[in-house]
Amino acid sequence: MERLGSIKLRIAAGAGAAIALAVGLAYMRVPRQYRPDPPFTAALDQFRLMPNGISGTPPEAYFAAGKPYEKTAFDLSQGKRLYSWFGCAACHGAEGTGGKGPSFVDGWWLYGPSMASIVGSIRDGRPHGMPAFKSRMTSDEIWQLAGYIKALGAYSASVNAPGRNDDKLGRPAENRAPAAIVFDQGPTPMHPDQGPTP
Amino acid sequence: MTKKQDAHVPLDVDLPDAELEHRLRQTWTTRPGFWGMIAVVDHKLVARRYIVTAFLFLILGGLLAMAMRLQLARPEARFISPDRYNQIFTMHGTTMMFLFAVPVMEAMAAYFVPLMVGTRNIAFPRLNAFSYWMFLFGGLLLWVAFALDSAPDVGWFAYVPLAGPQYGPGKRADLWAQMITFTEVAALSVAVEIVVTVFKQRAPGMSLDRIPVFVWAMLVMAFLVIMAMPAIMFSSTTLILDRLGGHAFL
Amino acid sequence: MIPRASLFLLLLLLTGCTNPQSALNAEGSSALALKDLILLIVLVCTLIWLAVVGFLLWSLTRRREAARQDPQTERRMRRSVYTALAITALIVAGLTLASFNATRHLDAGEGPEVVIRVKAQQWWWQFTYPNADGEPAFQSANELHIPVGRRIRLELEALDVVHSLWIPSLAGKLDMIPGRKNILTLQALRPGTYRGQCAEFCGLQHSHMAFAVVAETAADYQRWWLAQAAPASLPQTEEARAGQAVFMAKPCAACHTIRGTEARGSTGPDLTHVGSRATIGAGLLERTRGSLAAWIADPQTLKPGNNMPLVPLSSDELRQVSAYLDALK
Repeated sequence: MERLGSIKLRIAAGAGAAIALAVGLAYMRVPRQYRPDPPFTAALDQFRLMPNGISGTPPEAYFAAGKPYEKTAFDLSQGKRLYSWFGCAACHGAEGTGGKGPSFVDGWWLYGPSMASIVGSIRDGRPHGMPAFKSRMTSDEIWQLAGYIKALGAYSASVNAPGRNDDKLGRPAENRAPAAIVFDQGPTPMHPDQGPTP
Repeated sequence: MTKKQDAHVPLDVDLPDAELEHRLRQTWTTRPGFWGMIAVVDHKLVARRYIVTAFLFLILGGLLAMAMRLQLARPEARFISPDRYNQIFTMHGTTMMFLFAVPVMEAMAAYFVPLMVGTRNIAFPRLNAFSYWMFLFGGLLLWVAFALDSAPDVGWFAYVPLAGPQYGPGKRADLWAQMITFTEVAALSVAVEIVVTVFKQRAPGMSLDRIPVFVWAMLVMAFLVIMAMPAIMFSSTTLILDRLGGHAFL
Repeated sequence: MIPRASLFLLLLLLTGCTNPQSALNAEGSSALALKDLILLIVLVCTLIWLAVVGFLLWSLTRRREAARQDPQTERRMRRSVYTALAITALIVAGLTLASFNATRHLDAGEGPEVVIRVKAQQWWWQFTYPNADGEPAFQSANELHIPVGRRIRLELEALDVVHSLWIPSLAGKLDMIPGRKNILTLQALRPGTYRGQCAEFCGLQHSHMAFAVVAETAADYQRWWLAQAAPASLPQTEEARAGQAVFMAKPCAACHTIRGTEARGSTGPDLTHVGSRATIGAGLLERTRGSLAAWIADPQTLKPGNNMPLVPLSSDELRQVSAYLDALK
């Protein structure tokens, strides 16, 4: 009888440990979607920007799906590949620290830090040299890239952001929130539209 | 057996047999109840748990092997998605190597070696118990991740750069490296215990040339583990530092 | 009845030897040397196995009591154990030497080399053929053409993770490690089409990272080379012309190159002569107009996780693009 009780206890302890681990891991879980559902990507194109082109809101479908492009490690790492494949580095620097185009890690967002405005910038281009990528990338890719750019400029580290490159990096890796470290306010204080200070 | 050692322990010399037996019992029995179950350090109980757990993992790993064989039964089958398949074959290799083959061998040693060399318990019994918990939680970590579709998918050898930060996104390879470190610590601990038990706790009169062949074999195995495991432990630690700490060991 | 059935099963096993991807179907000089080594080791090990099993059976029937009585037998047994030990050592040393020797003398023929640069990436192969000056003349994807009898020098590079090039019918495998160049030399002895496959686990679509090796006579190779070096043919039909326009306007041109047009992307395979290839998607599908259309329509269902995105196209556009690509001979 006593032995039976101890076996039950053992099973209970094991199950308890497994459940505790499961809860912990479920919190970190990152489901992957290799094939974007065409109706979903069509809905993604329906985001709205403010009339002045600064900031905006993503479509409902994006929230309904749980903001995958900002949260899924796979999408973020695909975004990182797209960053080099589509030549972003030519103007924004291989590390996103800027060049001919603005930096992504200095805390300044000319058109606001929202996902919609980053997607809008990539898709339709912006004045002073940012080309439109509408005809070169699919919606899914544009959102992946935008998610990566947002992770690059985030002030708090995300567990899902990509780790460091295999080649040398001058700034901390994306999963360590480089923008919070490299942040540089510059000579003039920032306009609230252009993003929060860390 | 109990009387033989009296001569060496001055305190026990004058004790009557009944009292001595009572004291021995008090020293060596496992406490009852939940806490006693957690805190058990008896090498036979710990090794038995080790063996049972390892065989459970063997069954799980075998089920994965069957799933893989089903997928491969005909070309281009759509039984398992490529992502899941990669998780399954990684899990299978990892489970069979690190959660079955190494632990079950060491558990057999931890069970039989102290009995064969004539000692009451393995050397460092608490370390022994600790190593079991490390092993158990390492295995649980991996299998819970598998149940949640976050199992490692980079092969049980986890070669970089595929397992590195750039090409292995997500927590998957992190979990693998962490679990490997857990089970390596467990394996290394048991190996050290076996070596110390064989060298230091043999019964009086049992010289090294009189120990059973099984004990010799386990001693050699333990030395091999001591040689091999730190290298793997170093690799899995550098992999984790690469992925999470921003270091560059690749 | 039973012997006939087992004979049939044995014959079934032999079908493995005619496979386009089999080390036992050796058609290259290195592969022949390796095949000899495989056969030698199999033969020696079979003999050893037979000897061991025979000895085991004999010892089961041996009368121990009688043998123990006789010191003569005991001495003889001891001698035979020592002899067996010596023979074992000799066999192991001999096989090691044979293996060493075979690997040292992997033969790739004589004469001037044909250099081809191979770049492996997740999950396809890029073959770059240099011209006489060593400058790249053209690129092919997942289809390697080589002249028979010539010494081929493959310069292997990996662009992302570790891959491994393995054409079992022609040579042994060689790893491709990012950041370093490995050289594999081989020689095909007979014309034919062989299959190569990535032999180092490289991620999601490792199993669909195959390529075809077409070994052909010098004249055929020369003809193929000239055809490939030429820019893409102009679309002839109305449909194909519309397809070209779609290809240029949509994201396709951002990743793929079609020489002679404005499509100059370098992320995906060069499609200049995609219509001349036997397969698409790194050995995934036979190249037909239908499979091209299926691939473009939904690459992520056919090969989940590959880097070709699902580009939304209307059915007309899909038909036009597939007609255009299929005509790029």
